This record gives sequence, structure tokens and C-alpha cells, in this order.
Amino acid sequence: MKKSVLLCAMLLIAAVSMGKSIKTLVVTVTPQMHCSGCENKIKGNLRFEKGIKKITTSIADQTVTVEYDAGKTTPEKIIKAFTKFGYEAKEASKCKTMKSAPCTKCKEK
Amino acid sequence: MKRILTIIVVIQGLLGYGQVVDSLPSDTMLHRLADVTVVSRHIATRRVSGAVNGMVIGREELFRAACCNLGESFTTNPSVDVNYSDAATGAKQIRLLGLSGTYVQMLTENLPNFRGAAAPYALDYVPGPWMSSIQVSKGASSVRNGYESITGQIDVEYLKPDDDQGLTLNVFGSSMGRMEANADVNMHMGSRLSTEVLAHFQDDYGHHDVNHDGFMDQPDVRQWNLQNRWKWRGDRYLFHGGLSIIKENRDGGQKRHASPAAPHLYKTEVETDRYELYMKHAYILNAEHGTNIAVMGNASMHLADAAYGHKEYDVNEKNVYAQMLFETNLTERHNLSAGFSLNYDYLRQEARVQGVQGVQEARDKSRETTPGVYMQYTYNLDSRLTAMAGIRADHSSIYGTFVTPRFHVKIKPYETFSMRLSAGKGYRTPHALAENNNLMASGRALVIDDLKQESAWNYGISSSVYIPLFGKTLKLNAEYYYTHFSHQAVIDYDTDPSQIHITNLKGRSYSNTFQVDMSYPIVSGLEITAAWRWNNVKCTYGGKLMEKPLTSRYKGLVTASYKTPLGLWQFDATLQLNGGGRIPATLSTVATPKSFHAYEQLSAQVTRWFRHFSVYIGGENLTGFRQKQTVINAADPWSDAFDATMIWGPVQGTMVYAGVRVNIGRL
Repeated sequence: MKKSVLLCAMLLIAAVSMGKSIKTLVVTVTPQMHCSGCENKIKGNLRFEKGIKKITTSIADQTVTVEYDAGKTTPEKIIKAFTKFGYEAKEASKCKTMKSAPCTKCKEK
Repeated sequence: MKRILTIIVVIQGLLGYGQVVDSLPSDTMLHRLADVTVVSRHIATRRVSGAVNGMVIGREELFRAACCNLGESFTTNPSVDVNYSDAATGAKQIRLLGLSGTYVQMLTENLPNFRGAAAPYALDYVPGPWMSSIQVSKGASSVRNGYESITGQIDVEYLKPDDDQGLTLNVFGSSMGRMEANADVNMHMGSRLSTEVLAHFQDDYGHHDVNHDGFMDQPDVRQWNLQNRWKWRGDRYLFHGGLSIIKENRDGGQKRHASPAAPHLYKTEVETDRYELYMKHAYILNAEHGTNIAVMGNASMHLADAAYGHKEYDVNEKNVYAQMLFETNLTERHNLSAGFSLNYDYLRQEARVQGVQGVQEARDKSRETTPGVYMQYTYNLDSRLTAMAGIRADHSSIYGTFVTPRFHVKIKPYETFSMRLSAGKGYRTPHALAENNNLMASGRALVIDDLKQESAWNYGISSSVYIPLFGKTLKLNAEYYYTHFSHQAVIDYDTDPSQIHITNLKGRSYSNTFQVDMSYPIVSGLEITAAWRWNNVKCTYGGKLMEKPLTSRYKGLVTASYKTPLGLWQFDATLQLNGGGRIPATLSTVATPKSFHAYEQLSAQVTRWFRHFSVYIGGENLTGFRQKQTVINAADPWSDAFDATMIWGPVQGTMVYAGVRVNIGRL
């Protein structure tokens, strides 16, 4: 009996965790981020939105990378959330999202 | 090597963030790391980068414990001890480098504050939610702030009027019958002018007497504290000023329900009114060279009426401090700071003792004016070598002219290793009765001699090493400080058990402290800090060199702090081990111990952060340890053997608290 309960619980945990679809959204923001204060304002507010798992900011790339649970929120909702604390967010171009290895076109530009 | 450099960049980059972004290829990682930040935890306490050995305790660190006021803000800090001074009035004092808080210069926003009569209860005058940070500097500090710092400085920075606009409310309640409410609200009037109001109300209504000695363990304190601040930010001119009012009543001693048989209750009452005014003007003459002139000052009036049983003490203290500073970077490597200051102290005191032979009364009025000049030169060789030499000359209308030299050097041969050396002198005018009037809560006679100006030398050496370990950084610090007094106002309990004799030092008085501490982020979000400090503090009492009484010989501390990845939950725990020490002899006929043993204290807190508010719940002294006999001869408080000042440990048992911070308008 105990074994069955344990097995069911494990299966349930596995199903819940596998059911989570973690996706990544990279956005640029207006006004631009200039200092750690800007970054903290974004991270400090965005973290309370439903479904947010991880936030990474980069002043150099002017991007905010958000990992989210696609079962709980959408990119549209996340982008809308930026307006709550005075920012406008737009989904970044492909080149921006590939910040660690810029594509040839971007290099040429 | 690259790995070491990577870690260095992380440490040196924005102080708050230390996680490496795994997705970046290693060749680009090094170049990008300083610019990339990841949601991680801020480093709540950071070291000051200059030549002085200092640390800044940030708001995040202050949120790790209840931190109702300044005195409770050092729970998680290994360097600063906070102890009760007596069991009747709730007075607390800071100890830095094993020495009394009077040798630590207290500053608020870089201006000396809470001197003289304000000293016994000063730690309660700064509400925790008002503070944005506390800077603790050890050893001889800069000569810019005067000559009074001997063991170090504690500088409190309040929330600023030009911070993000909004209102924050904080409500706190504890199982010991304390209720607190705090508010800070600020407003920007245009782009240059801003104002702020800070408000605090506190009410202790517990009447707790856990050890059933008839005396309340803590006095009932009711405090109103209000501050209004203004700031103007021009292109070349900055103004910052404000005023504050504190009104406090603290009633302690015996309560009728606790001592139904006592014919006359022994009560302590301290009524305090304090008014402060401060302003700072800064003119930027040359922004490129950092050349500026600043004029700053503060004025305070401290009125207190105190009664300790049949002993009464009234004090009216006024202080004015003004300072003018000039600073410039002669070149990138050479910085010069010079200026002059004026300090004025007025003290009117009255003490009355009602005895068998009638009322004995003593009155005293004193004034001291001290103008001074200083010069400080700093050499900075690409942050590898920083040397700071300062000297000041002051002239006291009571003690004459005296010179204060101070020297600091920091060597940083590698990015992972730094060492600091310091030497300097400090002076202090003792206001023995004003600073120690809580010692009247004793049956001993308080005898005060004609005291000399106190003076002491302080020498220190400290080093920091950052060691890469399993992909994270282990931070190690070690420091040794030696303070020795040339002249000191010694509080002598030992020579005559029927007296507390405040007299001039005749012989040696010194303090040796050695501290090691380390911190390491074991897993992401979990930071562990461990520290150990040895104190060897001795002073000559009645011709004998003895261990300083009521002072722990060592202190150990372990703190753990865990924050979930998005920082929505925070869990904190701190375990302290305080070493034993010496207890002076008393007149009590009941055998009293000559020493106290080591004791532990555990505190913990859980915080949940929401967008516009946070809720915290925690406990202090969770192991429940408390000093058993806090009041000696409590059964007969009118006798010579009565003494409420022999305090070496916690006077209260376990305390559980909860609070909520609400943030309105701030994003």
C-alpha cells in the first residue's frame, strides 16, 4: 500500500514537472537601461508576475531575458507587465536573442 | 587562471550579482560578465574599497532580522556587539573592538550625533525602517569627522528625500508586548527639490517579569519620533537639511502586581525630549577634478528627567557642530581634503539623592568650545596602493590644544588579496554622569572624580582573501586591533563594592581583538557566514590590572540566509556563541558568582515578498537563554547591595514577532 502511494506521488510530481513548458522571451525596453538601478527596477517588479521563472538583464545588449512557464503566462502578458512599472517592452530581434554569438548579418552591419 | 579572473570580475562587477551566465561561451564570458546581471541575491554587506577598514550594512541585510532600531541592526554582524547596560532602564550599548560604545563615534549622515546625555539610549533613537544603510569603520578613522573616534565609527544613512517617490508603512508586534508603527513618505517637487517625512511610534506594554524577581525585565517604552528632510539638487549646488523631534518615556522597575508586599515600589522613569536640526551645503567648483566646498552642521537639544528609585537626575544638553570642507583631486592619484570645524557643548545637570539624612543635591554647568583644523592627503596608485594620512589640531576651552594624527594604507598586490594597516589617535571629553546616568539604578554610591580628557592610540592590521572554490568564491577576512589608553575615565566596580567610582586611569588599559570571518555561497541563493573573535580587554582598577568586567572573552557567529531564485521568499537564521567573562564583587549577602559562562543565542526569520508589501515572522533568543539574576538584591531595592547594572547576558527569554511592510506608490 505504502509503495503504491509513493509510486503515485512520484508519478504525479513527474507529470507536473514534465507538464511545465519553460520558454524564453528576450525583449528590449524603452526607456533604455543605464545602470543597476534600472535593472533592479525591472527585475524587482517583473518577478511578481505569474509564471516568471528567471530574469536576466544585460545593459550591454539592452535586453531582458525572461524564462517563463508557458502554461501560466504568455509573451503578450509579460510584455504588457512592463507597462505597470513605466517601461515599454518589445520582443527582440533574432540577432539580439543570439547575443553570445551574433550572426554574420549582424556582424556585417 | 581564466577561472580566477572570471570570479574576480564577478566580485568586482556590480556588487549585487555573482552568478555566471552558463549559456555564454567561455571565450566571450570574460568580456561580457561585468555587464551581465542575473536575478540573484544582492550582497547585503559589502566592504568599503578605500584605505579605511569599513563595511556597509545595506537595507537587504537590515531586513534579515526585525531591526526595530539601530541597536537591533547588528544581530547578523560579527564585528559589533550590543549589550544591555542594566536591567531597569533598557539602556543598551554598542561594543566595538571589545570596548564601550562611548569610544565609537556615532554619526548620522556623516555628522557627529547622539553624544553625551543621549548616549545611554541612543540606539533606540534610530528606527530600523528609516535606515538605508549603516557604515561601520574599525580602528582610527578619517580625521574629517573630528577627533572622537577611538575604536571606530558607525555612520547611519537614512532614506533619502530624492529616492523613488512613495509611501512605506511598517507595523510590528512582538510576544514581549511591543507594538511599533513606522512610516516614510517622500515627494518630488519638480526635478530639483524633494522632501521626506519619517515617522515612528513605539509602545512597550509588556510588564513581563519572567524571572519573578518583582522587577520588569524590560521597561515600558513609549516613543514618538518624527523627522522632516529636504533636498535640493542643482547643477553645481546641493542642499540637504532637516529637523527631528524625539519624545520618549521609559518606565521600569517594580510593578504593584509583581511586588504586592513591597511598601514602596522601586521605580525607574526617564522622560526625554530631543530636538535636532541639521543642514549641508555643497558647491561643486570643478566637477572634472572633484573640487568642491561643503559647509555642514547640526544642532541638538537634549532634555531628560530621570528617576532611579530615590535618585533623580535632570540634564539639559545643547550641542552645536559646524564644519567646512574643501576637497580636490590634484591629479588622478593625489587627493587633498582640508577644512575646519567648531564644536560647542553645553551641559547643565542636577542630581538629587534622597537618603536617611535628607536630600543631597548637586548641580553642575559646563561649557566647552573646540575649534579645529584638519588636512588629509590620499595617494591612490591604480587601487593597488592607497595611502591616507591625516592630521588635525583642535583647541578645547577646557583641555587646551591637542593634535590628532591618523594614517591608513591599503595594499592590493593581487585582485584576490588585500591588506590594510592603520594607526591613529583619538580623544574624548568624558561627560561621566550624562553618559552613565543609568548606573544610578544601583544601591552603590556613584562617585565621580575630576576627569581628564580621554585619549588612546589604536593600531590595526586586516587582510581579505578571495579563494575560488568549486566555481564560487570563498571570502576570508582576518583582522587584529590593539587599542591602548593614555588617559581614560575608568568605571571601577572593583575597588570598593559599595561604590561605582568613575576615576582617572592609573596604570594600563588596553584591548586586543583578533577576528576571522568567512562567507561562502554554498548553493545558488544560500549564503553562509561564519566568524570568530577573541577579546582580551584589561584595565587597571585600584592598582590591579584586571579583565574588563561584564565583557565576553570571545564571540562566535554563524549566519545562513537563503533566498528563492526570484527572491520571493527569504529564510534567515543566526547563531551566536558569546564567551564567558568576569563579574565584579558585590555587597550582596547572597553568594553571587565571580564569573559568567558562555551562552548561545539563536534568531530566525522568514520573509515573503509581494509586489506592494512584505510579511515577516521571526523569533529572537530562540534557545531561551537568559541571565538568571539580572537584579542583585531585588528583594530590597532600597539597600546598598541592590544593583541592576550587573548585566552580561540576555534579560529576556524567547521573543516571537511578526510584521508587515506596505509600499504604496513606489515601483
